[in-house]
Amino acid sequence: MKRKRITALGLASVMLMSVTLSACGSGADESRSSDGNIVITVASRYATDVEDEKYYRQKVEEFNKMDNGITVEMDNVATESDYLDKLRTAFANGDTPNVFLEYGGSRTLDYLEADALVDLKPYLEENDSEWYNTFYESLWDQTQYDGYDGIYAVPFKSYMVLLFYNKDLFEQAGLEAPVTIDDMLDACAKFKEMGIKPFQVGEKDNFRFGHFNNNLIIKTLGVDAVDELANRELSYDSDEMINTYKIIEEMVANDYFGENILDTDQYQESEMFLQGDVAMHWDGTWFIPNYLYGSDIYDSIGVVPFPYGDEKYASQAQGGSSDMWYVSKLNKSDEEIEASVEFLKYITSPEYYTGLDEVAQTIYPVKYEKSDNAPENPLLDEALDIYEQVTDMRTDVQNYDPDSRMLDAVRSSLQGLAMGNSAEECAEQIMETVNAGGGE
Amino acid sequence: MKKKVYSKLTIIIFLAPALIMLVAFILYPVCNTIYLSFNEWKGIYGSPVTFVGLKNYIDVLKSDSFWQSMLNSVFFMIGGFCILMPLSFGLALLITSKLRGTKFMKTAFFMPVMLSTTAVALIWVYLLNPSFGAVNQILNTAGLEGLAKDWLSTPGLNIWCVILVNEWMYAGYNMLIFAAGLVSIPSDVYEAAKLDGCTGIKQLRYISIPLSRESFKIFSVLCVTGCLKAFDLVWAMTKGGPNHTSEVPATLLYNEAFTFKYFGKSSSIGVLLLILGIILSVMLNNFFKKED
Amino acid sequence: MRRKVKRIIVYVFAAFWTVMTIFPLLLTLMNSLKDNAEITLGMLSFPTKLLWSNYLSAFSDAHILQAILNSLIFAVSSTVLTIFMGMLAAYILSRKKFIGRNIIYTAFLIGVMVPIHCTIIPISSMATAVHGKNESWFLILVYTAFALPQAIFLFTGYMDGVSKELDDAAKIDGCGEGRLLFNVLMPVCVPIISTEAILAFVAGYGELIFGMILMSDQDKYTIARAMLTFSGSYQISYGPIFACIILAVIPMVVLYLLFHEKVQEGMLTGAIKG
Repeated sequence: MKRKRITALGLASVMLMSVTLSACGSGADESRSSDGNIVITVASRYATDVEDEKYYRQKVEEFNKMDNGITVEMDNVATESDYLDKLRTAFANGDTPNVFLEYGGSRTLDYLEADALVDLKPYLEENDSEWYNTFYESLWDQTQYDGYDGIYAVPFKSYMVLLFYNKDLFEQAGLEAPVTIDDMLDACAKFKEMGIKPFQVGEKDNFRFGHFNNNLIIKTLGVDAVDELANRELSYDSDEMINTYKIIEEMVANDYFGENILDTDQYQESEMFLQGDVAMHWDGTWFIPNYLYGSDIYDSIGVVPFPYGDEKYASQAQGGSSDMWYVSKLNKSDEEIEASVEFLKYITSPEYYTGLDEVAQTIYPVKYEKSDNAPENPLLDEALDIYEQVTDMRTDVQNYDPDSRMLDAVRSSLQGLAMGNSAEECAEQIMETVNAGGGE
Repeated sequence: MKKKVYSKLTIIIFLAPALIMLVAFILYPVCNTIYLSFNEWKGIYGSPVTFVGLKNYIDVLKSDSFWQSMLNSVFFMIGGFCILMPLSFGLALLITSKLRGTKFMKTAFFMPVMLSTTAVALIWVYLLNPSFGAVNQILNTAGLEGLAKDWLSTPGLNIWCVILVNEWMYAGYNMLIFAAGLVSIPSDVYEAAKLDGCTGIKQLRYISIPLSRESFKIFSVLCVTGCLKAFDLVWAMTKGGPNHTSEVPATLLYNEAFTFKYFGKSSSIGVLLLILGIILSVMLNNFFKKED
Repeated sequence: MRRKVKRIIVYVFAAFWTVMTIFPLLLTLMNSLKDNAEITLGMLSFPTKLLWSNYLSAFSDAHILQAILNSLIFAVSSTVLTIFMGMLAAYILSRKKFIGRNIIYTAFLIGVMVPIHCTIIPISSMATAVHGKNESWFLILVYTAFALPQAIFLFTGYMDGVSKELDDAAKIDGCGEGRLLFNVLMPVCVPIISTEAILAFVAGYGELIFGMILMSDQDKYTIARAMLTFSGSYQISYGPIFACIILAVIPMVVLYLLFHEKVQEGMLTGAIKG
């Protein structure tokens, strides 16, 4: 801390200026609006004109019109990197939003370690766990951390990765939808022979192989392997893991993933699947409302679970909460925290999701009653059937890793496979980051 | 004596506004960066800042990714001096010449900067796309199939594509700097030279270029420092990928801080860039002074 | 004959580079009228049907007119401040000899090389301390601070080239320092001032990161921030993005041409350089 004082001394002039300037600023209590309402800020990425995000903003406006003494100020930044820049800056300065959106894993563990997050367990358990029970049980896993007794987030959106396939093309090839990974590889071979692209992957966005590998791990080694990878009982360069990279390596070598995959982005990938000349596409359940629903190709698309490598793990899947709400207690008053919780209860209520289901249909983390106004969506019903049968889920494998570098390290190394690296080289590259350790 | 005091007062009053801005918005953050570079910090208010001495610097200097990114930065500088400089100067000569249509030309040349990095990146990424883009199609129709490439995903080639797009984009920007110098060369200098039979290339060599020395100096310093901190276009076109092959120091710095939350290490990259920038600028200044 | 060939080469190059730099504008215009599938899979083709709704969503979803107005205000104010403060400082650095001159000059040099991401957190915390979040004046000061070093650098270099005889003549006429700078030197420096005005304006007008970090009210969004409205988690609406770019570029072209006329005028008056 001595060093800090020296720096501070050097900055005396600046300090002086800021102090003078801040003295000029008004001393008004910022957490109160002019009409005496308590003001909370909520940071999210829901800024676009997609239906579910429009619905969110509309519901927040409705919340503000209610006579509950709370005014919510939204701060919505759509792009992930910009949103995170703003959130990280806010955390560094100690003026965080009251409620914010994050994705869990080691990134949010840092906030918890710094004692910046509100434990929501007491609120969730009030009145016989009334609030807690509105959510699907399987999603709570991601909101808790080893060594911390509490629940630090509430799920807002959930997802599961599925395999979408073009029924017309499969019929043309005389094939059934793949059940095992070998089925999938056979189908790829058949399609390639026929001059049809089995996949067209947009690996310019490297989460594409990231998700594929997540599924290979979960479907051949099971969800336990995910936990073992996180606590280093299972190594990223073990034979089991190298086998998962090998599948990708071979699929790349055989051009099963399509042409110029490093130059294709996720949006082009989705559009090309919609054009109808690509046979398969793995994606989250969000693909249904965002791309398929209302498109010309809707009736030709079928959906199956991601193929398994080991039958034992057929009912496990990549999925979970994709978006979660957190409440900050960094420089926040009890009143603001209460108001934040109040807002979260509103925004995760079954009524909220019933209304949402009318405009955007996918799987949601809360049990709600279907409205009569909700449109027919057979593809989603199929997806829901699959979802019901899942016994265990994990989200991104590296999300459970204590080192925040691992997600990027693994995805980049997998991207290397698309550039012609071998499975062994891929493993080696991942291990460089593992061995460098969290370091700090 | 009175005059001296008065003169000092002028110096202080005239410099004060700019200095206050500099100290508050630039030197204070720089000091903060220097301070953090010797510490570890997770970037959360109230979380401990631990002194680690030179560890961050050692980590950075030992990592291959840093040197790879520095190499890409050097490529940026090579591109800056070998392509951007002659190109911008040429364009400046064009728009300050007596040719017809200079008004339209200078608007066109500056258009990429006005359209923003977002548009430029979207368009060039698309043009360079081997599946749909125009670049490979043109090569193929010209019978040069052999030259068609995976422009943005071939290591070693991708950074040069970004550099070329960068030169294309900023040629108009630097053209303005050169043009400002060119227009201030008095026209009688040219007229006198003309009488001596000094026209065309000769005029360029003996008048335009020597009398633009100040512009070249300014360009050089801006180019070197700009190359060291280049971020926007790289981020928009490749995000440093695929597999980190087009990473530059500024993208590393950004990721360390805002993606991985290692603010200490990120700051040490920032400090290294500043030191390098100052050394190179001072060297350039001396180089141009010697020519006096 | 040789002169003619040279002339043709010059014209061909000028035409070539004009085409090279103007086509993105045409592409942007074309794509501002297409839907996503047409853009992602065929950016170079003409729109099959003109989708004016992209402009509608630019107006109604991104409030682009408000954003353009905001960006204009921020960029013009910071440009004016930059030029004013920059000229004052450059005059001293160019005309006065005093201890510490080189240190100050180098300190300004740091300003052109500091990586932006090193400054975000300190500046944002300063904004909180002085109640500058969501305040236009603070953002304008930030833009000014980042444009100033380059301005000072350009102005000082230019003024060094202006003959000191001019100063002496003015001083004999009884000019004070202020009048010398603003009435005598400023007109001579018009080319560089206009140039820097363009550069500072462009930087402020298109800036994203500080506009995003410091401003949260939708009424105060800058253009780049407003355009983020169209890049969501699972989808990007490219059409409206291109529409926003087209709308935003119009005021910029107008200002650019206005200012650059001033640069050319400098040439006509034949500035004094020695």
